Amino acid sequence: MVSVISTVDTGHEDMIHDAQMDYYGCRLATCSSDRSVRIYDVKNGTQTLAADLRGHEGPVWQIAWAHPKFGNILASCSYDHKVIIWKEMNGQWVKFYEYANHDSSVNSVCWAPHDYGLILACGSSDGSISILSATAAGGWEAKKINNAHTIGCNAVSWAPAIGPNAAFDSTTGSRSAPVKRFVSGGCDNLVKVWREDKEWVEEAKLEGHSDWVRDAAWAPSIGLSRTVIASCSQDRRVILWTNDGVSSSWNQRVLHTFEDVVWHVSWSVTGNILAVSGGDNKVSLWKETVEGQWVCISDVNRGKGSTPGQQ
Amino acid sequence: MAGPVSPQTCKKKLYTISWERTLYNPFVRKLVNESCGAFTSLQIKAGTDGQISSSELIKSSHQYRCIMNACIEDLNQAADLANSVESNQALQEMSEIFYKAELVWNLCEILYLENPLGILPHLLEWIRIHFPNAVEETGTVLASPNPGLHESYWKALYGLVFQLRLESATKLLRIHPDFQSEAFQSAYELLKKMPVFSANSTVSAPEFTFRWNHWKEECESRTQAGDFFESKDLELLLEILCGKEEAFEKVGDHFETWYQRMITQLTFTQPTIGTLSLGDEAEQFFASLIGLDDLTSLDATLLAVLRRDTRKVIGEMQGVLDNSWFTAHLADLLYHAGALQSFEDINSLQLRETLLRDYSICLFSHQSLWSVGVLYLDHCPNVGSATLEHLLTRLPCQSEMKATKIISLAERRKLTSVVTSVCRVMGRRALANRRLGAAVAWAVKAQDAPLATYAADAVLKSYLQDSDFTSTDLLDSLGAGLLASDRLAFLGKYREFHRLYNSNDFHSAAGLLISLISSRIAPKYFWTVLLMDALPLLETNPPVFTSEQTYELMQSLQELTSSFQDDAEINPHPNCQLNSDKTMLITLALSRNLAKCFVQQTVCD
Repeated sequence: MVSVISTVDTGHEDMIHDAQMDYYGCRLATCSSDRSVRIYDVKNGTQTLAADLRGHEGPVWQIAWAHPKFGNILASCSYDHKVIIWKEMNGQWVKFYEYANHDSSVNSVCWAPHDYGLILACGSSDGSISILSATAAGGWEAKKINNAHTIGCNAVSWAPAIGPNAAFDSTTGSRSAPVKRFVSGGCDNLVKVWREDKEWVEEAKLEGHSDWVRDAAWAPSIGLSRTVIASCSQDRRVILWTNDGVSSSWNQRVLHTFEDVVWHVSWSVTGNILAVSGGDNKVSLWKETVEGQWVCISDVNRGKGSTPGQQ
Repeated sequence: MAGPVSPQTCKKKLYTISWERTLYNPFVRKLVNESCGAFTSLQIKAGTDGQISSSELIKSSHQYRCIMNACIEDLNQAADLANSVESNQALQEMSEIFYKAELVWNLCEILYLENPLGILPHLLEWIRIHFPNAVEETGTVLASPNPGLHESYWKALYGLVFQLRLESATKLLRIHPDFQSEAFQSAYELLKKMPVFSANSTVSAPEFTFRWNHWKEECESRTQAGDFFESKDLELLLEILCGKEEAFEKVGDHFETWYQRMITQLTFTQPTIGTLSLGDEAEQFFASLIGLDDLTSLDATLLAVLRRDTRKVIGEMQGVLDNSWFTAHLADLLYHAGALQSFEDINSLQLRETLLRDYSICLFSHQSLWSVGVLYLDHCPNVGSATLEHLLTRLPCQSEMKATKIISLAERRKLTSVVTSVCRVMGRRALANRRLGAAVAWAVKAQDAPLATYAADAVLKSYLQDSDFTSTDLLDSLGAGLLASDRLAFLGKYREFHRLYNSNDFHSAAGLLISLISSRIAPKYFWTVLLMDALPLLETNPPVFTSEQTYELMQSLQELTSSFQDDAEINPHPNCQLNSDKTMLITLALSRNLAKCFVQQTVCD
């Protein structure tokens, strides 16, 4: 059912760690151990290199596109302790802002829902999470959650801006201001949910993994009251955490135990498909059946030890 | 992501993967568009209460099947014209898939939508449609110089009988050279007399059974009496008519599929079989003929349909097809027929919605089919709107036309967030491309005050640069939209000032200029420009500025010279800079004007 429609020779000189399509799926960004970030224009299934961004002094782990209403903005994070925000200005990609206030490798970057403005969460091996916000004056403001995860934070992912119950709240007339939330995963085997309440507070601590949590992804909301988070770990499992939107408890369910470490989890735009990639060099796509069972709808194995990253 | 990686990793390649490609094929395009028409008209007929007659449903079902058949035709034609073996094969495979889909759909139509009484005649019709080989074979025989002695004569005859094409069968029998023999005459008479059960007949099932048994007894007694002894072929024909298992063994290779044979056998053994026993009958038949170990997905699907196991039908079809076209449309049809109710834990509406949504998402992944997808989400009451919101905002709007299309779709569905988001993105893009008028218009539509201010400033700056307003018509048509931000409102008023001035309405122009400054709506960086604009008006005689207005201007000049740096930019345009020359010039003009005012006042007094 799944077919490979194109192969991109990225020209990276070392391992690729992340590949992200922009908001519209018209541009592809990749980052690599060769310290570079590359941007491609995607048209009719072919990719042409549009930019090669140099600025990091170590392997670049992850990249994230901001919402296009802010222009073309890309964030990247690296082993060099830095986060760089790149911006396209008059056709040229330039360093827009550099944040160097972490004491160790920065492993994950994720932009908040655009409704909140230009806000970036960054998770680092120093155990802390930074939240960078663009100010009206054109500067950047940083808040930091120290000791978010002992030994290190590996992943951050924002909750959708529309509150879980928004679809049913329309009768009340005024929509209450959405609460900013994100999820993080770390080397303490924990998945944590954070809420902004003037300061950032830990709202939930989800215990389920028995080894480092490698990635966590908050599913897009499609108007149902339920909210879902997917997490994956060195323990080879992917866990789906669900909250009914009313209580504060999170229900956990193991999606699957894989053959090897699971590196990444990623939701489709409408949250109906979850892509999982792991150390066994496989990407699999999972979909919930009408009966509420999660089934694998495809396996992609490109052999030869490659780890294709898809979204 | 940080961490250990396997050493043999291939480092440089990325793969783009996709599925559900069939629907994107240009030859399947018509199917997507036309079935959408059928789908929407079905929803309109069903109305909000979902009440729709079964004849209407059958009509819809026929429509879907026609669309599939046309698609099969197109694919076959395309395959014939294909210029490579691979593309020919791919097209043929696709055509095959749609053939199977239509086969299953037709069976569903019979089992779920037709009158369940007298199911077998419908099933036989299904076989007739999908296996026209008997008729084709007869054609070949008849076209030969000596049909009665053609090697396929009997095969053709049996084929016609299998499908109860009795009229053709008797005609074929008549052209046999031995037709005048007693045996042929007897067989001919029995064929002519055969009672045929039809769903529309006025004969009740018990009455039919009575007649049929009577006829069958006659067939058997004539066979036993040795009527057909002289012809093995006629003997076999009679055995078939009597529904003898051994006879079907002998002609087993005349059937292409198990279901073809099963329905024929049932026609000659249990013509009045009811829908309820059909499932078990089919499964037993399949098990004994082929064996359940060799079940293909098509077999499994057909068995599930015969058992009216909707869940299994949909599950199997999801597995077989690479797209959700079939399941979405079928589930919708069955939903309206009340046939999706056989699910225990999930309500039928939910199931239908999930399948429609899957199909819609698949369409949204295509650069132009997405607009068809919108129409399906309209019929997903729970998650349709939220899903549409996600999908619409993600559509790349390369052109104003596409943006306008997305906006109008969103507006009709009250998805304001989509409208705002698209307008903002378009506004920002227009700004980046220096299309300032358009940027302002988009910002106004987005009701985005900061963006509107930003765009209005850009327009003012470009005015300073070129002493001319670009895209003025766009600006002038904004009307009440100018209230989106103060800066924009100022821009509008300032344009009006120019218009008044150019039409020599100096009094109104002067009044407006004063109000722009005194109301503080004009950004301070622009005050110098306004004061310079006032210069020619100050030189007129009789004066257009009253003494009060002149004082107002003096005050603002004072304010500017004392605290100029308030919201000044780092590198202001020369026109915005108030130097001593300009100050002198303005001061002089102001005092002269004041003098003229006094003179005029004195004269009046």
